[in-house]
Amino acid sequence: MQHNGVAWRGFNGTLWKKRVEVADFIRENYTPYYDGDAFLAKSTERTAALWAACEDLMRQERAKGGVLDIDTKRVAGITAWPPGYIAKELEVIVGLQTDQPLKRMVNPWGGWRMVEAACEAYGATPDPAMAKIFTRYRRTQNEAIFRNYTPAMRQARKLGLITGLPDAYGRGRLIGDYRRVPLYGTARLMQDKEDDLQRMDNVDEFAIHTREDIADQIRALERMAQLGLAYGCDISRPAETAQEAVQWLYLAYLCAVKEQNGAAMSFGHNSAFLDIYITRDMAEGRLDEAGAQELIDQLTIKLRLVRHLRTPEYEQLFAGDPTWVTESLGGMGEDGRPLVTKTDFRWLQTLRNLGPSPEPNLTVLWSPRLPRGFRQFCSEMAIESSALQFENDDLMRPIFGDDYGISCCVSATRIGYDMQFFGARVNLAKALLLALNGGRDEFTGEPVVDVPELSGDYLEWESVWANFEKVLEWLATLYSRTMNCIHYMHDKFNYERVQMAMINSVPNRNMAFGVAGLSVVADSLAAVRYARVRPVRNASGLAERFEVVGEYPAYGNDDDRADGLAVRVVRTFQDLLSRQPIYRRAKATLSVLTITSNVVYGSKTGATPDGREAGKPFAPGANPMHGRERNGVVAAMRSVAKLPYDICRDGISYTFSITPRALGDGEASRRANLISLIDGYFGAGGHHMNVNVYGREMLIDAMDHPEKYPNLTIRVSGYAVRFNRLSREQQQEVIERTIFERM
Amino acid sequence: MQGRINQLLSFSTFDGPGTRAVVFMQGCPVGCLFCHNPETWDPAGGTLITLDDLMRRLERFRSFLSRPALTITGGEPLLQFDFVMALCAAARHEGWHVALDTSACATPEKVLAAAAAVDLMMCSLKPEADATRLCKACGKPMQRSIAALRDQPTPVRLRYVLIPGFTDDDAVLRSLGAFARTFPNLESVELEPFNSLAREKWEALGMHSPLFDSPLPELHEQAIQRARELVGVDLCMH
Repeated sequence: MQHNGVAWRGFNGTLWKKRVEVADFIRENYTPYYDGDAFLAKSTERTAALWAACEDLMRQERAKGGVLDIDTKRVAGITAWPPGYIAKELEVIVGLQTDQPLKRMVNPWGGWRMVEAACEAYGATPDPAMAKIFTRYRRTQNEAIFRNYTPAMRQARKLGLITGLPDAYGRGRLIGDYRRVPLYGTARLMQDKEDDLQRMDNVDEFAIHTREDIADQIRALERMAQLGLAYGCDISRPAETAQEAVQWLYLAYLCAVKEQNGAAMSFGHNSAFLDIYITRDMAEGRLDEAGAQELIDQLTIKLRLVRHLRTPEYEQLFAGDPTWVTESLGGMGEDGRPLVTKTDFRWLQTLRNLGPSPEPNLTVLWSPRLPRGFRQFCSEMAIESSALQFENDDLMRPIFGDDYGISCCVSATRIGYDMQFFGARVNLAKALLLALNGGRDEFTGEPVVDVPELSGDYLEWESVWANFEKVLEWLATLYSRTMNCIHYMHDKFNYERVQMAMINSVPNRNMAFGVAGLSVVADSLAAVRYARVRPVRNASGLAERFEVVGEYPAYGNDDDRADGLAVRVVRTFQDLLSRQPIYRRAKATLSVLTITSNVVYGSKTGATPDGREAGKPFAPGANPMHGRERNGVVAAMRSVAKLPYDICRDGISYTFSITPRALGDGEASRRANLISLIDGYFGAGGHHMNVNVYGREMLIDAMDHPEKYPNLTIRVSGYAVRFNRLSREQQQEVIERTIFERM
Repeated sequence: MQGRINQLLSFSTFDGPGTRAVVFMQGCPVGCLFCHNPETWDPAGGTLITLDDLMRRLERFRSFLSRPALTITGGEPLLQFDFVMALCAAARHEGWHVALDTSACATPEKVLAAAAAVDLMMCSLKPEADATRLCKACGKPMQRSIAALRDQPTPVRLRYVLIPGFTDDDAVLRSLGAFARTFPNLESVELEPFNSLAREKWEALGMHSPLFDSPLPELHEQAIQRARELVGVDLCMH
């Protein structure tokens, strides 16, 4: 142990000093906070000035079509750029991805074609020398994956059966335990990794692979320390003050987003950790509340400036330039104390000090046992900003312990212990149409999978389900093999050495599969089973549309007949996935999540037996289809809560929208009613809830007059987005969603 | 025992105090032209449900509500008197706060019996038919049934729909206030500004109402405040 006397002064505990174990440090040293928000401070003048400068830059960015500037000369990397500043004299926390704020990096490790397409879309040309390197000398993840895709994989991808695959950019979803850098310094972390390397012998492929990974991680830690020095921060040693703790933490994360362009690169669960340093500084008279808030405000500003270079196609799937810098707040400790500190309040306060914003993606780990003051403040901020999501801590804590964070939207990750292979999702509605069309694509008629044609005028339940099961079995095999191919190549050509340097050397690995269109499928199956459905087939025998005779119970009304079908579908699919051999001994997990891809998926899917027309959007995530919840919000929530988290360990996304008046009459009752609804939903077993409180009229007005609502933020599926960054089509879909109201 | 319901709504903040589940009973003889639920009129419509099933479904909403609270509305709930009485008894037995939202279009005996079975009576005061012809049924007998509620202990909330040019006459509003003051057990007067959001429902049913066929002038906050003052601000909600 080096001379950590200064950095660790006054800290309790022994285990965390002997080995890297941040959770133990937190347990030994944090101060739970049980009161309300009265202590909070506004932004300092300096921070307000800094944020004003950033807002101006973001206005310029929007005016230029979404991208302010691209550095086409350098390859993304930890030390590729000299230090960059927004306005150095105003910055308490420093560090930018490149040398200028909002200037985007070219990241060719994932694939060269994506770089070219993205540059072209924004009128830039990548450096020819770089092009030569990444097309002639260096193979990329994308190139390697496409060489290895089988014809069936290509077809499924092209038809929109499997979409959003991370085969041309970083897979993301990893959360490095960035807290390790402030607590231990990179020198100690490097020493630990060296020890791990020595302990592991080259006995087999698994061990060799792991050794190679660790060696890479050590090189990353070296570079990280260099980057720190460039900004005047010696992060090789532990942080000694709260300012240093925030700064070190951010630099660790910054290195990750300098080298990787993963779709969702989340931040973790950092409040209690930072609060320990802030509390110590306050006790030592070094910091007051305004100074503490300034640290969190300035950290938040930096996190709001993270950018990646994307193509317009990517934007269709994940609209609004999201980065999913998800930061988890709250949660209960396993020892029964709430993990709520004043710093959890300070994070929420940034929504007032800096205005609502999609990033960081603030996620409350919710329990009825959290202190009343915190629950009330969360509810108030959710209603005020429509920028918060809530996840069921009582459901996750028994599985993941109390030191987990949400990755991306709904994916729980033990920080420093887990990593995952992100796998986007399959289009279940399209899979069902394959089952109804003898295995042929409903638009092109091309054969995709071998299943019998259905006979008879009306769809008959037993044979529909039998065919659907066959399609799912085939799809689970194809999907998992596609994922194996992607992640093998990702590890080989685009390894996340920075994040992995802050995760244990032999982590637990999950492969995070996903489904879209669940409510369409549940309702379609319910229609077949409980009403009569007649496919109207064209000359080549493909069902162009469906006539439904009679009524069917729809998912979203607390009706076990329809809800049971939704459960049956996810259970069947997860069961099939868990039997597949998976790369690097990962465990198969499943999410019900769409981001904004429910619109694109819908556009690639023909008419379905539930009465949905061809090309129309799906409901997002696990939501019931728009307008089919006839029994109000509680019945809808009860339906979604029936999807078992046990089966869908990668998360179940539910987006809830309600008008202010329908939520309650007056602010106090709205706050209380939202708390009751979240408690009720989670008590029933629900996993995740996006909370939107707005009226349809306002959204329509915002669509026609975006200039009136520059900061209007809404929750879509697992993330928040500025409404004016959505496409017209996506805006329309949001407006058509069920917003619970009442005449 | 079976009843005919139009809808079971799991969460509402519009139908009585707090957050409540709402049962919309099927069938209504009153036929108001400003009705927002014309689909509930036909006594043969809706779906049949047993009392046990209804209670089972209701219980599933309990933990989402700030306290277990139920409003029975419609339609006119007193049309299915026996079923509604049984529902009130069953729900209160399970600890639900029960409100009955009625136009009191029933004999005073039935209205009094209903009041004894619930925690809150919410009575829609209808405009008098000869004055405005807004309702098929005459308002007078309903008003008499409501007046009978003065002499029993269950609190009464009086609801009144404000329709510009039809029901917002100064004298009518003043007399509404005077009528309300005669109730020692008055909880409050609830003025509901009319809106035309139910237009599509009327169209879908092929029904016509002058209030939905052409847009009415919107009621401004000032006009609502003025109506409150005419009725008596101390009586009104908020």
